[in-house]
Amino acid sequence: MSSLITSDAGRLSATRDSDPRNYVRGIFTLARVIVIGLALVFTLFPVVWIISASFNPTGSMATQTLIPTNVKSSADLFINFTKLLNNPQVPFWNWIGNSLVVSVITTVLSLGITILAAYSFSRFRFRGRRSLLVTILLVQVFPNILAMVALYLMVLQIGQYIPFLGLNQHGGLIMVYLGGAMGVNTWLVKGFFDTIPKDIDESALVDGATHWQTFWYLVFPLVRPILAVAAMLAFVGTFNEFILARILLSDRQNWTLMVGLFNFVSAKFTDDWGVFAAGSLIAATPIVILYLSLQKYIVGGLTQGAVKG
Amino acid sequence: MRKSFILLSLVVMMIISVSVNVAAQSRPDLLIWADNTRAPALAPLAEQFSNDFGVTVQVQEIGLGDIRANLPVAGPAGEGPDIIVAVHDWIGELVLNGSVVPIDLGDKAAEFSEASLTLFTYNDQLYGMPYAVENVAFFRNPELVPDAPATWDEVRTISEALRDAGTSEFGFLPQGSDSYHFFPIMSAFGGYVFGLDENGNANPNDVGIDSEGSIAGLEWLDGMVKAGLIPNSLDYDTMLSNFETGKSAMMITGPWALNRLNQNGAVYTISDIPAGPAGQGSPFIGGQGFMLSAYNNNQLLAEAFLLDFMAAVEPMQALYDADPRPPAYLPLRETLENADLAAFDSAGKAGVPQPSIPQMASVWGAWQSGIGFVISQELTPAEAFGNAATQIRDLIAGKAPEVAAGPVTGDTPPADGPQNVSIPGTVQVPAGCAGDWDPACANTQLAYSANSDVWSNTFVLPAGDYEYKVALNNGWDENYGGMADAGGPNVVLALAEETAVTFVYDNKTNWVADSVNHVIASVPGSYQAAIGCSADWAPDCLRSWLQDVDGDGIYSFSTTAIPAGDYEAKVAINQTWDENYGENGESGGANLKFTVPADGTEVVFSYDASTNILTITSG
Amino acid sequence: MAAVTTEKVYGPQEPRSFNFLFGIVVRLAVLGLVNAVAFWLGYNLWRDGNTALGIVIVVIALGVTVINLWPSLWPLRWMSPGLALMALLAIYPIFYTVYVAFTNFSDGHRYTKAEAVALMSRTKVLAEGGTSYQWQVYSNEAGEYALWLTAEDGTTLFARPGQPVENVVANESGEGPYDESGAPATIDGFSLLTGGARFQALRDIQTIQFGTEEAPVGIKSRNEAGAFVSKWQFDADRNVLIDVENGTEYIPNEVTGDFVAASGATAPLGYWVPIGFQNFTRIFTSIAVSGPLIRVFLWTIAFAFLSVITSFAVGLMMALLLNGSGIRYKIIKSLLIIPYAVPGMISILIWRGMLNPNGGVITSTIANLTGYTVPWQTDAGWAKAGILLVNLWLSYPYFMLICSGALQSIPSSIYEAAEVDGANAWNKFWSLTLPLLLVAVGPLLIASFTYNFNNYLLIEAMFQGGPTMIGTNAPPVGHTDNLISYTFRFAFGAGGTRDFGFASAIAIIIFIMVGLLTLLQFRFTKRWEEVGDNV
Repeated sequence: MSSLITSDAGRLSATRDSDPRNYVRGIFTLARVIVIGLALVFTLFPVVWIISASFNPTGSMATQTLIPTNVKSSADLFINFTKLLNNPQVPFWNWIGNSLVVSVITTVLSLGITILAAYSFSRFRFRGRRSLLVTILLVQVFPNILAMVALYLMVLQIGQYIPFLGLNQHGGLIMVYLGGAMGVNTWLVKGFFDTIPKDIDESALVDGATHWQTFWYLVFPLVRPILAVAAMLAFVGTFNEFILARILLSDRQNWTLMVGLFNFVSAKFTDDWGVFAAGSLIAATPIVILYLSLQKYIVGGLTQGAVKG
Repeated sequence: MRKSFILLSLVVMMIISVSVNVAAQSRPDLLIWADNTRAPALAPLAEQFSNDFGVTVQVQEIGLGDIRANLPVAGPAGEGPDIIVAVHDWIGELVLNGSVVPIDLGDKAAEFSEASLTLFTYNDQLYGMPYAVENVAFFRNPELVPDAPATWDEVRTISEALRDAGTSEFGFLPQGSDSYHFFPIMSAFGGYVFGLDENGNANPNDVGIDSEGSIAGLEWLDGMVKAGLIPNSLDYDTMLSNFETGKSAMMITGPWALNRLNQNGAVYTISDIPAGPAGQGSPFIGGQGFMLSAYNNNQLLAEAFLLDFMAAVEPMQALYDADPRPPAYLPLRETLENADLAAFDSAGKAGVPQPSIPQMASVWGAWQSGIGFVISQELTPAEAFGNAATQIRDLIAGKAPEVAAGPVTGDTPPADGPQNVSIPGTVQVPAGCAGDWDPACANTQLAYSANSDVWSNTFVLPAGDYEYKVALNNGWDENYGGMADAGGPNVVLALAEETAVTFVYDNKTNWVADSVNHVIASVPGSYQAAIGCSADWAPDCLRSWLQDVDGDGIYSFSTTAIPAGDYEAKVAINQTWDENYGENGESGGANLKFTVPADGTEVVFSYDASTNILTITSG
Repeated sequence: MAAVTTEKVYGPQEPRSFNFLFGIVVRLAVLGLVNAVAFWLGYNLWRDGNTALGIVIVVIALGVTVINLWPSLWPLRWMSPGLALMALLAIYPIFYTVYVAFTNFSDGHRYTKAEAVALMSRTKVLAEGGTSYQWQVYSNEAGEYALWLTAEDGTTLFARPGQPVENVVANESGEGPYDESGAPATIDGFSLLTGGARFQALRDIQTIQFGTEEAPVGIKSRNEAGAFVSKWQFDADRNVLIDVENGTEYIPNEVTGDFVAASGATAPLGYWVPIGFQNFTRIFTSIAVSGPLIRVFLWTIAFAFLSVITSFAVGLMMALLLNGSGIRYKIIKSLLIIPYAVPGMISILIWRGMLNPNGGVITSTIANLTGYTVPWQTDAGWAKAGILLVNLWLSYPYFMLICSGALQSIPSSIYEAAEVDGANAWNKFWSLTLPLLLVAVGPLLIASFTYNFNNYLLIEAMFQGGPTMIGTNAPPVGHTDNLISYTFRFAFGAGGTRDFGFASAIAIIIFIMVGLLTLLQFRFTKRWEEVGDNV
C-alpha cells in the first residue's frame, strides 16, 4: 500500500517472485491494474460509444453496434456529419462562431473583473472584507432558476435603450454572464494570490511603488501561468452554458452551440441518435483538447485554489 | 499604467465591435414568433410579403414552449410579437393572462374546417386562425394483419394469435403509458377526461378519469399486460422501432410518425380507431394556428397579413411542406390527394377536441402515472385511475383557493330579492378580506345560482374556530344567524384542519348553512325539472335543498309545484352523487318512489341525517 | 459593507507623478461616462414606468462613484466593476425574487393595475345605437385617407377624417370600375387602395378617427368599422372599472388583486398585489402537510451526500492509484478527466440514451448477459442508482484532479517520520493522508454538496423526477425528485397555471437552507485562512 502513496511502479515490476512478500505485491499490482482498467472502461465507454454512434450510418440507437458494420463507403462513415452540416436549419458553423465570440469576450472581461477583485481581497485588509466574501459566496448558491424571469425582463428593458445589450443580442448575454463573474472565480483566484508571499509587494510598497504598480509589475507576472487556468475555466463554463443563453437568444442565427445542439436534438434525440452524436462530438472535442493540453496547469491551479481557499 | 490603458481600450473596442456587429435593428411593422418547425417556412413568406407590399414582416424563432411562457413577459414590456404560432390547447392559459385577442375571420371563416374552428374557440370567441388539425389513428402492418380489427377485443385476439404463431413478438403496442395515446382506447370503453357543461365547454368539476368507462379501458390494457402482450417501459421510439422491424403489428400514432416510417421503409395501413362497448374510439383532436398577441402594435395589419395573405393555397402549402400536418385550410386540403391524410381524417371524424381549459394541465401527469402503474402491474386499474382522479381533483381544487376564495361569478339575482349576500365574520380575514365583520367585503360574497335559487360559495379556511352571520345587500340592515333568525346570534364554525367550507343561503327561508355544521343535502329525482331545475336527477340543483332551520337534525323541504304523476328520488350530499342514499337510508340504495295524486298537492321531503332515511309524503 | 475603512496600509500612498495625474483624469473620465450612461438609462426607465430598475441602476452608479472618489474606500476601487455588475445582475434579481414572494404574481395576476386596465381597454364594442360596417380604404394625393362603408342592410357611406359622413350609392357614386361590393375605383379625388398600397395604409389608419366628433367612425378590425368604444373603462376618480356594454361596475379589491362586481363576478384580468406571508404559509400548510415533502427532502439530502461521497471516494482512489510520475499515469489520468471536460448537457443526454430500457446499450448489454432488463425508468431503486451512477461519472474526475494535486502537496517528510515509527501503509493512509487531504478538499466537498442539493439539471434531464410515487397527493411526485425539481413542478408544472409568487417563496426557503450550509463551509475556510495569514 505504501507504493500507492510513494508510488514507484518501476520498483514493483522489478521484484522477484522468490520472495514471498512479492506475492502480496503481485496481487496488489494485479488488483491495481484491474481497478484502473475498470475505471478506464467506465469512464471511456460512453465517450467511445458516442464516437462510434457518430460514425455509424444506421443512425438509430437500438441498431447501433460498437464497430459500425454496414459501412459501404467513406460517405457512409460521415453520413451523420453531412446530415448535420448540410441541414439548412442547422447553421452549425455560425453557432460555433457565436460560442467563440461570446466565450472569448466573457472570459477576457470576467477575468479582468475577477483578478482585480481577488487581488484586493488577498492583499488589502479592510472592514467588511469578510462579509463581502460571504456575500459573494451566498449569491452563488441562490437557486437562480427563478431569477430567470427577472433577468429576462431586465435585459429586455435595458435593450430598449441600449439595443446591443438587449434580448437576442450577444451583448446582453455577455452582460448577464459578467454579473456572475465575481461569484464564480474570485475565490479561486484569491487562492492563487494568497500563495504569493506578501513580502514581495510589501518591499515594493516601501520602495514607493503604488498598489497598481506593485500588482502589475510584480504580482501579476508571478500568477500569470495560473491565471491561464482561471481563464480556461471561465471559457469552458461560458462555452457550456445553455440555460441562460436559451432564454436570452431567440434567433437561430444568434444561438450559441449549446443552445443549437439542445434545441436541435433534445426533443427527438433518440430518433436522430447518430446526428446527435455527431454534433456532440464536434462540440465536445475542442473543449476536451483544451483541457488535456492545459491539464498540468489545471491540476496545479485547482489544487492551489482549493488548498489555500 | 500605459499598458493597462491599452488593455482597457482593447476591451472597449471589443465591446463596440460586438455592438456594431449586431447593430440595432428597428422594429418591423409586424413581428411573428414561430417555433423551429414553422419559422423556416414562414421566413421566406414574410420576406415575400415585405418585398411585394412594402410592409416589413419579421419572423423570430422561439422555442415552442417559450412562445407561451415569454409572451406575457415580453408583451407588456413592448417587445412582444404581433402574431404567434400556437397550439390550440394554450388558449385557456393565454386568455387567463389576457395575452391573446379574438380574431374575426369574416368571410374567410368558410375556408377553414369546422373542426379546426371549434378547436380555437374558447368562451364563444375565436382566438386563432387555424392552419393544421391533427389526430392519431390506428396503424397496422397489412402483411401481418390483413384486415383492420373492428374492436379492441379483436385487437387482443389478433395479438395473441400473432404471438402464438410466432409471426411477431407482439401484436398491438401502446406508446408506453402516454395518456394522449391511451385516450382513443379509453374512450371506446366510454371513458372521458372532463364532462361538458351546458355550453359544451369542458367542465373542470367533472373529472371522468375514474369513470366506469375509463377504468374499463384500463382493464383492457391490464388484460393485455397480464397476457404478456405488452412489455414494460415502452416509448415512442421503441414503439416505432418494433413496428418498423415487424416485432409488433399494430399501434396508435399520428401524422408526425409518417416521415420516419416512410424513411425506414415500414409497411403500414392507417384506419379508424377500433370500437369498444361505447362505440368507436375517439382520438383527441388538436390543432396549430396563428393567434393575435394582445400586446400587438398593429392589429389591423396583423389581421390583414393572416387573412389576406396567409389564408391562401400557396402559403398554406409552404407550411404543409415544411411540416406535413393535415391542413385546416380547405382549399389546400382539397388539392391534397393523400391516402394517409384521408385515413387520418376518417379516424378524426369520431374525435373530440382536446380540452383547452387551463385545468387540463393538471390532468396529464396524474393520468399518465395511473396508466404506468397498470403497465408495471403495481396497481389494479380501479386503484390506478381512482388515485389519479383524486390527484387531479386535488390539483384542480388545490389551485382553486386563490380563485374560489375570491369572488365567484354568479347569475343575476332576481330584482325583488337581495342583490348581494355575504357572510361577515371571523372567516373573512382568512378568506382574504382586509378586516373581519365587513359585510361589503368582496371576497366573502355568496354567488346567486338561478338554477338552484340559492346563494352559495366555497372558501378554503385554515383550522381554527370561527364565527359568522349572513348579511344582505352588503350592509347590516338585514342579517340572520343560523336559525333564520333576523339579527340572531353568530354561527360558530370549528375546523380541526384546513377545510373547504361551502356556505349556502336561501332567501326564501332566510336560512344559512355551512357544509361543516350541516349536511348540504338535496333530493335529485325525476321531478326536479318541474320545480325549476334545469334538469331532472340533478344533485347540484338546490331548489330541492333539504333545510334544517330549527337544528334538530331533520332536514326537510316541501313543494306544491310537482304535477300529478309517479316519480322517483334519492338524497344526495354535497351536491354530487359521490355520497347518496336511497331506500332505507342505504348508501347508493334503490330510488324512492312516490306518487303525486293531483296538481298542487304539497309534497314534503324529510331527511334524517342520523339514519340517512328520506321520507316522502304527499297530500 | 457600508463602512469600509483600511486597517492596514502598506508604505506611502499614491506618489504624485505624471502617472498619478493621468490616473486621476482617466478615473474621472470613466466615472463621468459611467454616470452619464446610468443616469440617462435610469431616466428613460423611470419615464417608461420601470422605476425600480431605473433607481437600481442609478444607485449602483452612485455607489461606484463614491467608492472611487472617497479616499478611505480605496480597497474597494479595484473590485467596483465586479461589484456593480454583481449588484445589478445577481443581487437585484434576488431582491426581486424576495419581493415577488410576497405578492400574488401568477397567471391571471401578472400585471400592475394600470397594465391590466390598459390591456382590457383594448377590447372594443359597438357604441350604443351604432352600426357596424364593412370597409374599404381610399387615399388622395395629399395622403389623406377615407373609408367606403357598407352596412349589413346595403347602406353605403363615405367617411373622411373631420368631416360628416356622406351618403353614397353603390355602383353610382364616384367613377368606376366598381368592385363586387359596389365601391368605385375613384371618388372625389380619392382612389381605392389595393395590394401593397392597402397594406401600407393599414399600418396608419387604425388610430385615425373618421367622421366628426359627434358621429365618429373608427376601424375595429379587418372586417368591421363603426363607432366603437372600449368595452372596459376605468374611472380613476371613483376608482371603478366599468363594463360599458351593460354598465356593470367592478370595484378593485386591493387584497386579492381583482376587479369585483357587486354580483361577485370578476373582470377578465386581475393584477398583482402584495399579499404578505400567504405564499409562505401555503408552503407549510399545503406541501408540508399534504405532500410527501419528508421523503423528497430525505432523498435530496441522500442524493447530495451520496453523490459527494461516491465521487470523492472514487476520485481519491484513482488519485492514489495513479499517483506516479510515469508517462503511463499521465496518459491514463488525461483519459480519465475527459468526462469532466465534456459539456454536462451532452453527457446527461448520452447517458439517458445508454440507459434507455429499449435499445440503450447498457440496458441491453446487461439484459443479454444476465437476462434481466434493468428497469431504470420504472423502478425507484434502479432509477436512483442510475442517477447516482451518472453523477459519479460526471464528477469523480474533478475529485481525482483535486486529490492528486493535494497529494503532491503533502510533504514526503511526514511519511518518512511515520515509517520510522513503524506505521504500515494502511495506518499512514488513515492517520496521515486522509486527514491532511480532508483539510485541503473539505470546503470543496461542502461546495459540491450544496451544488448537488440544488442540482436541478441532472434530476430533470435524466428521468423528469420519475418514476412516480404511488398514492402521493397532487402533484404527482417522482422517486428521484429532489427538493428543487419537486417544488418547481409544484409551482409551475402541474397546476395548470404558473404561480411565480409561490415559486419564489419556495426558492427563498431553499436558499435559506443552502445558505446556512455555505456559511458552515465558510467557517471551515475561515479557520484555514487564519492559518494561512500566520504563515
